[in-house]
Amino acid sequence: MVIDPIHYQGVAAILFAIGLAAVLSRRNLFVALMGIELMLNAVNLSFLAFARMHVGTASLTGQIVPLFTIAIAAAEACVGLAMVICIFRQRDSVDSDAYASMKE
Amino acid sequence: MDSVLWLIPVLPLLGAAITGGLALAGAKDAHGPNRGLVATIAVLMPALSFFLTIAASVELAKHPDYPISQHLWTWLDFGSLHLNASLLFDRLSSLMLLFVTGIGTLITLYSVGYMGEDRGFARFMSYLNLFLFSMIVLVIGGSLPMTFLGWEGVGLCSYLLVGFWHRNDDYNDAARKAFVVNRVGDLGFLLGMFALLAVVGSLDYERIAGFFQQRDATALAGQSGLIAAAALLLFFGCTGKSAQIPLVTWLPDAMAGPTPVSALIHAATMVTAGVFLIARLSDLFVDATLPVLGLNALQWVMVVGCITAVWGAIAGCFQHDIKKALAYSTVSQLGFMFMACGAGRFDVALFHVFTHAFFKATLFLGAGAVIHGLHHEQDLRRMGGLARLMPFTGLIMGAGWLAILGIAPFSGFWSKDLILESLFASGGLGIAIGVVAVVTAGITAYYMTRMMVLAFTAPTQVDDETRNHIQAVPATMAIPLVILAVGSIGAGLLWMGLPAAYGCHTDWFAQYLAPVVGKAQAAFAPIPAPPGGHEAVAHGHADAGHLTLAWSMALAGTVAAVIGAALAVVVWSKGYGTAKPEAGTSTAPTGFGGAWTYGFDRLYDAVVVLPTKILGLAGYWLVELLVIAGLTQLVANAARYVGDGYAAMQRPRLRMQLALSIAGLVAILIIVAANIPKP
Repeated sequence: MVIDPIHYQGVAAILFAIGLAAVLSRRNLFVALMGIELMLNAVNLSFLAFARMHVGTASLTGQIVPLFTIAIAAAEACVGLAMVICIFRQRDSVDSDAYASMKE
Repeated sequence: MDSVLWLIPVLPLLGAAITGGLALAGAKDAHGPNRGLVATIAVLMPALSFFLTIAASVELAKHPDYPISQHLWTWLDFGSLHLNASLLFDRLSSLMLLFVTGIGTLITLYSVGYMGEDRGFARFMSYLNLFLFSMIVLVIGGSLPMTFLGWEGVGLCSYLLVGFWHRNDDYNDAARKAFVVNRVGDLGFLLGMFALLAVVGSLDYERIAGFFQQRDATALAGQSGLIAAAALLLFFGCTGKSAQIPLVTWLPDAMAGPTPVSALIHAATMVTAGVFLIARLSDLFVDATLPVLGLNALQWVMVVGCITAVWGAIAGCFQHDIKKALAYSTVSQLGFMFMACGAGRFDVALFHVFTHAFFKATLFLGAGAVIHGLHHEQDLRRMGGLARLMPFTGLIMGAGWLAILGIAPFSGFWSKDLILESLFASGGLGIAIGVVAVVTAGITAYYMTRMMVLAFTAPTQVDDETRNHIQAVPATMAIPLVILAVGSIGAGLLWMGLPAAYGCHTDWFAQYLAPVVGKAQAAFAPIPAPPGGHEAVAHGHADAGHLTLAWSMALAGTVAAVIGAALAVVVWSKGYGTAKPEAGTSTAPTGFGGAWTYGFDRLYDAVVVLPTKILGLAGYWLVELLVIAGLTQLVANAARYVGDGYAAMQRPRLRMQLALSIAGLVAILIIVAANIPKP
């Protein structure tokens, strides 16, 4: 079987959907953060797959953007985990529903 | 052969995956997964890698100047940067792989006995296999980024295994410390790679070696600054992985991990990666001649190695914990290896890596047998008199002890004397460093003998309860111990002695590595022989100077060792006497250094941690409170006022409200549609 660009995009879409499902459905904040990482990486995969369709310098953008995404994702994970730890110290829980105090 | 090279790293990876899967599958089971199955897979996979490595080495022996390489796939194709994921199997990788997979297999087998009772046995085996995979990638990678991949992998596995008993917070701190300190070194590695890329235009080892081996003086002079920067930054990376000053403090803390881990990762293999990297890039280091602060790159390597060797040896004299004493000894011995690199004798440095892997693994595993026998007691103050209680272990550790002392004909004798010789032969700074190295060899003998005396012959401090329940050494632990002990007796003969009986040259080891590091060494010392008393002796046309040097170094090293050992026997044969530890105290690592790293930990605090905290506090006051909190308040207030105003427009009737909303939407759509530019 030949791997066409559409297959890469399909995998990326599936990964994105899994990540989104994790964020929306899981109450454990760590899993939610993992879901976000998965979504970011799905986008990276999509970029790279598009980059592969071009030759030479035309593919550079597609290869560079994921690098930025990775850097930002690292920063995001750092801040996100720090926030989860801070909240955990106050609420003694990593269940996102336990944080529902925004309403009031 | 070249088509199955990829199997060497992949087999342990497979082992890691299978045992990891079994660990997960059996997590809910009261007894955990089937230990026999896990042990078989975990030992079999590295063993298969070992046999493949032997086969590949045999293949390589047929045409030594043409390394076996395998192109796996294109990793990066990025403008001018083209990078392949490729494997390179030359004499250097072959040597490293033989002992990484060989000793790795033995220690995995040992772990079956040592960790067999542990609840996390399968997880442990999985990490161990993952470590071997990473280490093999580090060694066999065909380019710097491949090595970096393995470099990070072993760092990760080191973290996982140091913190293996993760219910103990101190151990977790120790693991985090190992990881973070290594990351600091990794920054040097990365920047060094960038600098090297700017010089050579490629990160492929064969292209890098080819570039520097031309020794094109004008090309090198034009970029001498970048070359020196690349060498020094990469060396900074090595100081992290190989626990040299200034990034030294993590290694004693890493002793929090189970003892097989200390033997495999923190003595025999991973910590020698820095020496491997310098040997791999020997052409770069030899050509980095621009002085930085008065010293060129190799001189820096020599000086740092020397200071670390002395510091580690002195610190080793003050340890109460048997594993920490060995850890400082490792730090010190790594310093010896770097000294040899600095003297331009990369083959000698690798020879010491090789012999050290045997005798330090023997010592660590022997210490493991002691700890196992005494039910997890590792405080020297609660040992003593063990020679009678565990004679087998005593004999094994005795072999390792004689090897590290450098008593002929044990392996350490050959490698340590070659290091002393190469230091004196390199002249200038090398002679000063060489004198210090001889003294350090004496201190080494002192602290090692102290440890042995306190554990095995001093009056016993073991309480009766423990004495009557000494755990026997199972076969899975005894077999690796015996093989490694034989190695620490005999490994030195690879340079001299045994091969001669079979008609080989006696500097067999140096000749084995010559295709890789020979050109660099020749460029470092162009006029006739590099300092090589032993080879010269063998060829029968020894120049008198070299012969004298070889014999005087052998004598100096042995005398220093004997003096040190004798001193230790005199001082410590009575044991600690009344200086008993308080009940309930432990010498286990706490994540904040041990005795003698406090100075470095305080230094890190002052230089790195405190400024970071100040920056964080400044950020909190300036950015968080002023900008972010202020802006958020502004936005919130604006939203509230707008909301209040909008509330006045709300219609209480739902249908009316809906109709207005839809009308608004239509209005927006009309406005947007009207503004779409005509094609």
